[in-house]
Amino acid sequence: MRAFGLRTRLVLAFLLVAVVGAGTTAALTYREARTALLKTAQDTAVSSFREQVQLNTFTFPSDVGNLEANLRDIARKGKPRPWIVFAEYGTLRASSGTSPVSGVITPGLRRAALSNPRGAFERVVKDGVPYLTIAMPTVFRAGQHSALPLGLVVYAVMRMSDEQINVDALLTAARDGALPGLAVALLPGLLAARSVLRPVRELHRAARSMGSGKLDTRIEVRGKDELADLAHTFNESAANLEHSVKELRRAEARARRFASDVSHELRTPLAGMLAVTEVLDEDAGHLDSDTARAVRLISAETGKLAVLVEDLIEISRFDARAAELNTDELDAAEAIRKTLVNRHWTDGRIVPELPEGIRVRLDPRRFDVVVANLVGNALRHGAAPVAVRLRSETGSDGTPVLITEVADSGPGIAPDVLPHIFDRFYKADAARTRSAGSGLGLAIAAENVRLHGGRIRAGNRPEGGAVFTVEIPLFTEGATE
Amino acid sequence: MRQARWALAAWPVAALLLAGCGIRETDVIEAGGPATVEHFSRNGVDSLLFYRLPHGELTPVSRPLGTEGQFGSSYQTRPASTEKVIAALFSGPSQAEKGAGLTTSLPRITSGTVRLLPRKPGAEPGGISLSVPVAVRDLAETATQQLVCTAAYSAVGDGSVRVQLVGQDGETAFGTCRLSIPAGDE
Repeated sequence: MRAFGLRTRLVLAFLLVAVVGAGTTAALTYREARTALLKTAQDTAVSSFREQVQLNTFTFPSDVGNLEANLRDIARKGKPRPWIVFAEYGTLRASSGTSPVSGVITPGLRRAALSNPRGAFERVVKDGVPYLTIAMPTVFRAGQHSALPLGLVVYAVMRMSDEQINVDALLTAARDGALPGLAVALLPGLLAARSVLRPVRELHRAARSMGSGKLDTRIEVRGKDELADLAHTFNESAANLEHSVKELRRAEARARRFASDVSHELRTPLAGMLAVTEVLDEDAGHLDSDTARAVRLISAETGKLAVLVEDLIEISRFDARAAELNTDELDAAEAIRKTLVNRHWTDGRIVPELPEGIRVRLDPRRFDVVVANLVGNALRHGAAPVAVRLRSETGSDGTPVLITEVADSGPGIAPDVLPHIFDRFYKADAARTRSAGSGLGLAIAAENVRLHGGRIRAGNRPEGGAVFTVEIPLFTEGATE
Repeated sequence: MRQARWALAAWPVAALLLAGCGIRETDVIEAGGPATVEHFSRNGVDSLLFYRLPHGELTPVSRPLGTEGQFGSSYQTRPASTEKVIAALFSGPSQAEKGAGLTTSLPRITSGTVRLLPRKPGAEPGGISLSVPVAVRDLAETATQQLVCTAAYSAVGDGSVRVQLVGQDGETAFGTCRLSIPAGDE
């Protein structure tokens, strides 16, 4: 799985939502419960403290001892609250504990109690321990409707340990509730990720299948969501693409068949014409010079036309995948020598460098065509001497290959022509529209080499002149079977 | 951009979690009235005198200034007169009261007496006029209140009477003891 793939992101998003939801709920619940818990505890403490104080009778001014006795009484009655009571009157300080003055009571609480004769409390955290401090100013009733503040303020200081425990328990409960919530949220997260990822995976598979040529690939459309829309669009596009490609192939096939048909139709009349031109050639000597030249021209052009038609038929066989390889094991040097002799290229224009003993399995007829076309091309467009070399070496993929090189001594091939040199009817020189060849020779050579599972390259030698290199595996696939 | 969005989503959670676990401090929160306590005093015998606490507020103290009746005796319980109570007020807090930090804002009297003046014709009903041997106009507010409260509580039990001070330099307006607060429901 990818580090930040769709699944991870979806699950993370679900978890985040769950964290926010559960966390918020837990925190809010905790806060509310804590507030309620503390409020109850505080209100109870304040009213019970007031009651305790009210049970006492004070004499004013009291000496410290008397006051302390009163305070101890309040402290004793303060059950179940274990509070320490402090009393402050003028400069008198007394308490029910060991120290007469509390370190927890804040000046703010003191000020509030002295300036306003009303009960007040303050929660103080000292050294991590929460305390509830209550200030209870005292008044006495001086008549039916009025009371007099006594100037005596009684304080209670109470550790909120029970409350602390309860609040801690609340926090634990909130946390323990939130964590299983997260675990539960993981399940729908994974399910949602699955439901999204399955169509995406199908789409992935279908796209790959289409890329490999299966244009009839379609996706099953499920549901009515955006992913279903996507699948629908994919299917439509695939159908359109399939249609277009079929149309193109049909057009191409039609065009090829047309070329093939035309070539075949031309063959028969051409054969007749060739027979006639041969007769005419023989008789040309008896004709007057102008007529004889015309007759010879017709004869030469007819011969070229016949070659062109033969080449066209050959190349349409390749297009129709009708070309077959009839392999035979033979000596490569022997095969090339035979080709040169058959074409009467035995004069000094050709320099063969053919080491004996390289056995190779190939189609002799097609190899003959390849060598003849390359040498013919070199003689036509390059310049003599044309070197024909043969060697075997290990190819780039580790298999032994037969390398045939045809190098001429001409001006070489222009760089802008090189990529198109094996195209059909490609004319290197636009001005030279008529050449001796059919314009298909190199294309046919390339097709033949390809049929052998080999490669053909064209290039220029550093010392000048074009070089064509043919690589054919020493043992073709047909041979190993 | 994405980080900003994540941070935005995480903010409320963090804020809530940081809102504090456990018990936090609070401000001073008012909670109900004061404690109304019994005042140990013998009705009629004990009088209330008002002195200053260290932080400035006045506070009542009780003094047995009246005459206590005894069972079978011809003496009857009689509360002390306003003149006697005010005279006691001028003499300042007792030793025990001083020990508790009580002070007085009144000047010491060297001569002269305190008299309750007869009501003037046409004077305010329900008010008393008190002649004191000090200059009353320049008296501090605390000192005036000491006199007014003490006189008012010695004249009437609930101290609701209005008091005018007549001094060596003239007289003040009628005033009430501002110390008393409305009694609670209890």
